Amino acid sequence: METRHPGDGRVSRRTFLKGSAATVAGAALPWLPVPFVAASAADAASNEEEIFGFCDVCSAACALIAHVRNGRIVRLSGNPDCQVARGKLCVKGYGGHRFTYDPDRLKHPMKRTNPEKGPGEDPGWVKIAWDEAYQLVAAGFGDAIRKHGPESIAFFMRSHDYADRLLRAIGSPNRIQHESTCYTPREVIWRACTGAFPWMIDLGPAKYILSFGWDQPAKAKNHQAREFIKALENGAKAVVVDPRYSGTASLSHEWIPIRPGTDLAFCLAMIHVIIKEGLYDREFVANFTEGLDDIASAVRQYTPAWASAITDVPAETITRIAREFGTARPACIPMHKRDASGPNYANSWRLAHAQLVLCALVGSIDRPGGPVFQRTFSMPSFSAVFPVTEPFPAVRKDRADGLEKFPLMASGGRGNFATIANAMLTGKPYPIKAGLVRKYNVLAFPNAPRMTEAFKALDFLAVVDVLPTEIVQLADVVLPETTTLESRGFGPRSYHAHYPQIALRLPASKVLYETKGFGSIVMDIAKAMGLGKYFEGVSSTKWDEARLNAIGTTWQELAASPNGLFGEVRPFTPRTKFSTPSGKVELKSSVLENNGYDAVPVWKPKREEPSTKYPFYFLITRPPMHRMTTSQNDARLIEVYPENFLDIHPETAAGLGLKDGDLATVESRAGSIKIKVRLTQGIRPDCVCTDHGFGRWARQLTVAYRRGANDGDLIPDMTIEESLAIGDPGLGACMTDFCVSVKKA
Amino acid sequence: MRYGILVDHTKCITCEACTVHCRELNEPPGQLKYTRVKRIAGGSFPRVFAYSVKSACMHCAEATCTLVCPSGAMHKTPEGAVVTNPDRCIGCNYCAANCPFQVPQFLKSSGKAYKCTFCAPRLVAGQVPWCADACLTGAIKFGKRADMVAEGTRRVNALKQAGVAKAQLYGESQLGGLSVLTVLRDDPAVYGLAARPRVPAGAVLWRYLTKPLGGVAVAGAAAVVALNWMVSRRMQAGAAKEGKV
Amino acid sequence: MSPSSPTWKSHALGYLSEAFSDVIDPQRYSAFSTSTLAMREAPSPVMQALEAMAGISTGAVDKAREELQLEYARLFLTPGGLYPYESMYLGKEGHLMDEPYEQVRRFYLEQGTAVAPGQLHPEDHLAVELGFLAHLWSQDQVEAYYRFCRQHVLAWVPRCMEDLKAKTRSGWYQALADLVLAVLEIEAGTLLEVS
Repeated sequence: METRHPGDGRVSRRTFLKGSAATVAGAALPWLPVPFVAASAADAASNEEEIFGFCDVCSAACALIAHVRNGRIVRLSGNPDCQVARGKLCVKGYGGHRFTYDPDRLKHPMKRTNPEKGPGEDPGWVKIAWDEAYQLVAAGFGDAIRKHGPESIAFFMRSHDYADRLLRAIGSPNRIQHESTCYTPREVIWRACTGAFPWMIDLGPAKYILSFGWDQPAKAKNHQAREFIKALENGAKAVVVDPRYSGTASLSHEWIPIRPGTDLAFCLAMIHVIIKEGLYDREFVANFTEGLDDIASAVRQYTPAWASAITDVPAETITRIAREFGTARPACIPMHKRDASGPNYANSWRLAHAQLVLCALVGSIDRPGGPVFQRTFSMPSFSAVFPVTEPFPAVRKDRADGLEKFPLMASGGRGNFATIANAMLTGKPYPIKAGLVRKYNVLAFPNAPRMTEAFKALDFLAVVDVLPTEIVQLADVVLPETTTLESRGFGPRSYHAHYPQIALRLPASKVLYETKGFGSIVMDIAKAMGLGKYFEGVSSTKWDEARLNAIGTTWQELAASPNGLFGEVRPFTPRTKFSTPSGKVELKSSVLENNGYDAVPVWKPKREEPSTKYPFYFLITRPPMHRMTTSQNDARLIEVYPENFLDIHPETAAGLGLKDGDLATVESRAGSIKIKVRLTQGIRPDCVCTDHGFGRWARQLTVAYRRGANDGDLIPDMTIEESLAIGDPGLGACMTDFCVSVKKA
Repeated sequence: MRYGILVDHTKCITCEACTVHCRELNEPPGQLKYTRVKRIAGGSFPRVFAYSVKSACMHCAEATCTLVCPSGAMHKTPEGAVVTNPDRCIGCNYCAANCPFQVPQFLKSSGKAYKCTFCAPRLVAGQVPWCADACLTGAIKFGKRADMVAEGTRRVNALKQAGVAKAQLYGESQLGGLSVLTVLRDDPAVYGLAARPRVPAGAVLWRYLTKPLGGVAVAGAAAVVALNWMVSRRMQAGAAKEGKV
Repeated sequence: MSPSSPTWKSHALGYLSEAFSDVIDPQRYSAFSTSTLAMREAPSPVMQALEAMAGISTGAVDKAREELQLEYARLFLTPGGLYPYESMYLGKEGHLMDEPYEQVRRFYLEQGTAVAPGQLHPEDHLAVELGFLAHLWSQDQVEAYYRFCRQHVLAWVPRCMEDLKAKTRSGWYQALADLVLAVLEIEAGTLLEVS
């Protein structure tokens, strides 16, 4: 027997009515308790299970095993057969189930009732049905399109096949991604000079590891930490060039406390020494590179003595390191994300180029012990599997963040975190009025308070997320997403791929509350907007199947895999041809030259230097137990690392009247924060440093709320013109290319 | 068979996966953590050093805690673990007061002392302790103690060859041999460890005095609390004089 | 004791499970609080709680609905609110789906039952546990009913209701909490008597 709740679409099976107690004068019990049904055999049988999956804490996507007992995930472990995980996860990865089970998690779609937005404002959430949520999104986007045109809608998220299609169906060019704050200056150089980007650093076999701000072991990046330690155990020498004594420095043989943003001078002088003394790998250089002579003449002036004055590093140290690096084989410069050649300084892209030249000189590009291009399966694109039957509307305008003005970045369509706030707040080149955000935090943008204002200024904002983060507090409509542990799929991983190996993911938890997968959220928004025709026939099962068939397997076969993985172990075959115009590693890059950039690395200083007003360099790092802005609501991680501090040299602190633990005001030209100081001898006296991910103002994050301060409040954002003036082909956001003052608060 | 853990500080990235894993899966009461990674830093800019030190029970062969515990709440297992039995603990805190490594932690809410168990039930079941299970760099290894000694010795020799003159294996002989062996780059004192920790002389006397009471967990032991306190104080004073506390 | 006579219990638990599973519907609330005929055999503390419920004027239904939506959000969707899950009261980890979840789920399975698919809440949510009591009572599973009361519901729901009373600004939830407490006090008394 079934009854329907008035005004409620749900149907409940009233099995309990069969009981004798449920009759009152022969009438059915008129209430709707949570219904129970006979347990299925599957329920009863599933006491202990091991479910294959892969981690989504970082993009390395370590394959994991979820240990499930009585319907809940008890713990996660690394998949021993996975080439990335090798049986382990990092401290954040082990906590994946705590993210899924976070009591503060977004459980239902919600809309705000308080029109006032911002830190300190209670959004006045009320729970709504999914249908209402979609109607609100469709209405909000529809308004923007009618009044300001389709380009007034911007998506803030990583590239996602479904969402990218929705944006094209709407007719807006504006998908804003974060990579200009993360690694694009290095990526653009490697693509120009080698035709590809080496996500993978094959540290294990290296004999000499020279890093510039690279600190992945101390970020607990599973494969990089493991391979670095393995190399050390095998007798590699490790040298860390970094203004602060990083965790990696403390495990290394030598620490060189360089002046921030001058690593380029150090590397140019190394190239000078290695070429002058003929220490380079003649065979590799002759067979696989072009432009050595151009490099040689470009660096002729860059002597170690010259570099010494710029870097604060003795000339003899530079010479010695150059000789050591030039003669040890394999020699490796590990690189990842926000190290010195990340988007930190105006000259970071030039540093990336100099590092690439160094890697080429010692013959380590795509060779064991060096930066390696990942080996992954090639799979069909979304549009090849699901072609559109009707053409997308023409895009009427260039992007609001000015991406087209950066010829080497435009094709990726990834946008610029640093310039979007200005575009949104000034309405130039045109107004942005509505937004859809997925799992980005406003705190991660340069000048986070200004970006908060920019989001506040939108007429309509919808946010898809798992936790009630700061950006969620600014939303008009909140769409709660499932976590990866609740979903199925597979991962073609690229960060540490000696050979193509994909990992299976089966749901380790049932989908909790009223959450939904992002793909299905996007398709439902499309339907509500009348754009469902662009998603005819699209389904995640078909999408998975098509890609798996293309690599010679099926979903059924993968799901039955005894170790949750697919892809034969294959020996490493070094690349002999590169995807550049010349087919070689172009030390002097024709691509850079043709696009109006310096074709060889030359010295240019960073953007800003200390002044009387802002006398200190500012550095940013991350502790190993936290991942960006995603982990601070995990009570277990907060227990071991509860807040961030301002690391400062004791003499500097004394000069400012600061003692360990004192509250200090740190100010830049963009803004100011208050943060406790932590004294350390392991930092240059002209620098201060803090961790990213803290300074949370969302009260709904009951664990993370009000711990430490947000580094992003200090980072200046920029106009498109300012970004162009920096001249970085990879439009780096200059995340630490500014200086600060420090005072006792 | 006696098992061992080899802690190699030269491989520790200070991520505290061990701490978190232990906390979550062993569920120590209150806010206690059975293991932590301490950061020990020294030197002055630019010649500095920082070591990560996993700090937990060493599981001594000559375990002072088992000698001084008046209620028989602490004992050694054949696998090499020193474990506490909270049901017998009377909260006198002598184990903590006399531990050469300041390990047992007293929890006010329950009035009992707790410490790392070496995951004793897991050892019996042939499983790896959670801290070693979590460690992604091999800074915490687990195996037969003899193998861990051999592996530790090999690491120390490699470090010495690489120029780390003071590299040494800690725990091979201290206190009759610790189950937790530690590869050090420097003198034990730099890590806050006594080079030659000793069972306080009083503890042996203590054992003799309380032995008849050992089985009388709560009532019997409580009756001698005053005496315990005095002897314990004397032992601590003695240790302090020897520079051990 | 026979489950067929105190049918008031099926009514009370059935409605309470409904009321805590989603935003309260003011009309349903009124309907229950005036169902004195169905509840006529309830002991006087329960009747008093029911009267108190009936005494709360819902006024205009639309306005009440809006208020209840906000109060629901304030209690269950915002910080400083309530986490009505057994895991949050009896678990050690401070997150959902902790060990109590397993025990509750296993309890259901041992009774040959499971929460119907498509429900919004995990098995150890307040509404689900109350729904399970309603289910057991209606199925004449008296022993299991009291065992579940003792092992689970009584171990945390009274505290949760006190928290609810402390946190809510609305008379509706005050009265609901009082009704839950009145019912549970009777069950606790029965268990004491038996033991």
